[in-house]
Amino acid sequence: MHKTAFCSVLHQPWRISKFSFFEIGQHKKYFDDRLNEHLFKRISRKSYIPTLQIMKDLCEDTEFKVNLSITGTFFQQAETYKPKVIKLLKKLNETNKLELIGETFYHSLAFLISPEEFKSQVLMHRKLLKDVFNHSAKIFRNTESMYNDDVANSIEKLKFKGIITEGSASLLGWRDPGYPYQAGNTNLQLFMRNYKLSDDIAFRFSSRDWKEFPLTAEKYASWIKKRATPHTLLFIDFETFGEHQWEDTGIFEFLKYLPEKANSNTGIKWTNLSELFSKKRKVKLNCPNFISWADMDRDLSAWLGNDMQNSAFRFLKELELPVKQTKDKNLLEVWRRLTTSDHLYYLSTKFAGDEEVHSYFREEAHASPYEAFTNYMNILQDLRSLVNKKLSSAKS
Amino acid sequence: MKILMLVSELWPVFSGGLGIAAYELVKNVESLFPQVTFKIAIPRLNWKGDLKAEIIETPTEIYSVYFERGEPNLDWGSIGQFYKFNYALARACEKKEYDIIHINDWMTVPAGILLKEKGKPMIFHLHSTEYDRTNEKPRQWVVEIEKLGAQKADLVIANSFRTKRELIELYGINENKIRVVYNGINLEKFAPHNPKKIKKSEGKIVLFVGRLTIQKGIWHLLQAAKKVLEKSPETKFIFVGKGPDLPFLIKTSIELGIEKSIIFTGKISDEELLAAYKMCDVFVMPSVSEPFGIVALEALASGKPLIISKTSGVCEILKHCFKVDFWDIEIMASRILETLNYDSLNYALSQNGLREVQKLSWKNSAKACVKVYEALLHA
Repeated sequence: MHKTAFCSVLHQPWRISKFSFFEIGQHKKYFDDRLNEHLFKRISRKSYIPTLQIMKDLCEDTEFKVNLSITGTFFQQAETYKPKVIKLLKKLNETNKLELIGETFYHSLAFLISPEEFKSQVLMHRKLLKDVFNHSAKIFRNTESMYNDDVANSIEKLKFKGIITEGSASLLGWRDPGYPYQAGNTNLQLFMRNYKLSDDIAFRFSSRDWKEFPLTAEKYASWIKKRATPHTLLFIDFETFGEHQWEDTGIFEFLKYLPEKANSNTGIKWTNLSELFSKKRKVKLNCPNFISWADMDRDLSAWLGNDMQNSAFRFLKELELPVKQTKDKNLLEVWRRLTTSDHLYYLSTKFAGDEEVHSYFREEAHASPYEAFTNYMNILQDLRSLVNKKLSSAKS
Repeated sequence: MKILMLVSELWPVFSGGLGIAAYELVKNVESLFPQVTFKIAIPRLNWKGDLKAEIIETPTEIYSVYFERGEPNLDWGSIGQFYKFNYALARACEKKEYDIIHINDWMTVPAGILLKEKGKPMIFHLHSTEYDRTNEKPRQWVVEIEKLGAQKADLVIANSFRTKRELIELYGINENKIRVVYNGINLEKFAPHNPKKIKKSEGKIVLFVGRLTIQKGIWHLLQAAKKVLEKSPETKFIFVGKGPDLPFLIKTSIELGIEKSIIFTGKISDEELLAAYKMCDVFVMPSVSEPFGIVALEALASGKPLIISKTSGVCEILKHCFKVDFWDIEIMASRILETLNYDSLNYALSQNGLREVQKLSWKNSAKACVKVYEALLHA
């Protein structure tokens, strides 16, 4: 019986406003409420609501199980703009076939900011899952699967049992991602995403140039079945269903029929991640350098690959202590929303293949990486002036 | 394949982008496609001020034979001179041998049409339209000539999609007849290698290059300059070029109280122009209406960050620059200040811009142009 874990991530960043150099010091709104509302409602209609509905039905009627990472900023926006999405998530949770995955609350670069901030954001997210779903996540996935040995060490201290990352060739070498591994010197089990099979759905599903087009549920199930490993981990963006791949590509039909074509009769068993824990001795994988699931490089270069990204991130980091010194909850929340990885992702100026993916995600918020940079920097400047005011008035 | 090109100006005798475009196109087509040769017909004024046409046979030296810089230009405002020149041009060419007539802008339309009647196909290459050049206050007789040229031509070349759209919307030209051939840039000439040490005054430098006319949007840049100077008083704004609006622009800068930070250089030599590109920190092209905007590519090729108006043809082909609305003074000023203040932004814009402009060499324009010639002959 081939165990297959279907995983996905629900995330939306708080997109920032257009903020000119002349607005620094005027303390106008940092986040573009109208844009965030517009996008959240649109994606809810096209993707979240129909997909969650299908998943709930599948979990009730078939052997299908699902694993989700739900970011804190996603939850905040759902609460503000489309509470129906939360209702559906709760219903899905009631099927007892949903496993939730740990995250940083802000889907952020917190691990690269400071250990304290990382811990705070992980615990905030843990509390969110407990409060809303009465769920304690056993398995963690850092923002965009950013991972190295240090991440594993920190996560073990926070009492997780497993961690997910990209089944990247730089880490695996000749090995297959479908085995349980040991994360460095920790006792964590390392779960590796099968990016080939995941991207067949996420990127190639509707590509007419692909030799496997059109991809049917039957064909896909046959590929999973052929695998000789203990398990297969599929991990794709939730918006793949209905937003990146539009409804008219047939993506919803694909999802509906997949469990029917892949069930215990056919030798495939859908699992929650915790069912993949193995007590057997595992191969230990050390990962000194950061990997992630983004771009062709599969490292940190999608967020910290150019000077603009590095200088903006440096500025963000410098503000951590002053912001915390103000003891102002609102300022801290604003700063934390600015730690979300998307803000730095938008500043990428990669040429060639990756450029398209970056601009696809960026273009509704910023005209170019350069505008993304200036809006972000001007906002950080404004935040700094606000923080300085607070601190100096506290002194006097 | 023999091309007869009619053109009113040719580098280094030019008053705008047309002369450079014609020169670079001919030079690059000839070096890449030995089977294509040109005869170029240009106007010439002799020392008495009489007008005549001259044929330059290429691939010989194409720019060393005719009138010197500083001589009086043709008066294109005079309908009489315009037709006289065109008849002279047609007469000079009628005995020559060629396969295609390639005319450039409205100034050579009547000559092109006269020659076309002898049976060879004609290409009308538009580097701008009368609407672009006159800030939407076109001279009707020029409009009629432009339209006639586009109608009579077998194929029309537009230097951007923006110009193509104008031809369709304003002149009702069938879009299947229009091909887009973008301008290019002489990368070697502007390459930022061995930057000469130029002694700079205090403060950053914002550069503009172009004719001082209303459609270039200089008035808007001056308004933005005032806002920039409020935040960053050491900044200098250099305006390179001459033109009829100079008195008005000086007056405007005095009214704004920023005249000490504004420099109008007038016409400068090529060498000085290269130095100006080298010493600036950001280049702004705020055009109200710009069919292409070759100076934008010159700035990029010089390794400088670029801010351009969305109403320019070059805007269609560039990604690595700021694009602004010419009327949005605050955003224009904001972009200038950001480019001057955030080093990593300045660096990213200049490096990525330099990389992007490598694709826009005249070689690519030449290839696109030869494709049009071939399409016409094999039609």
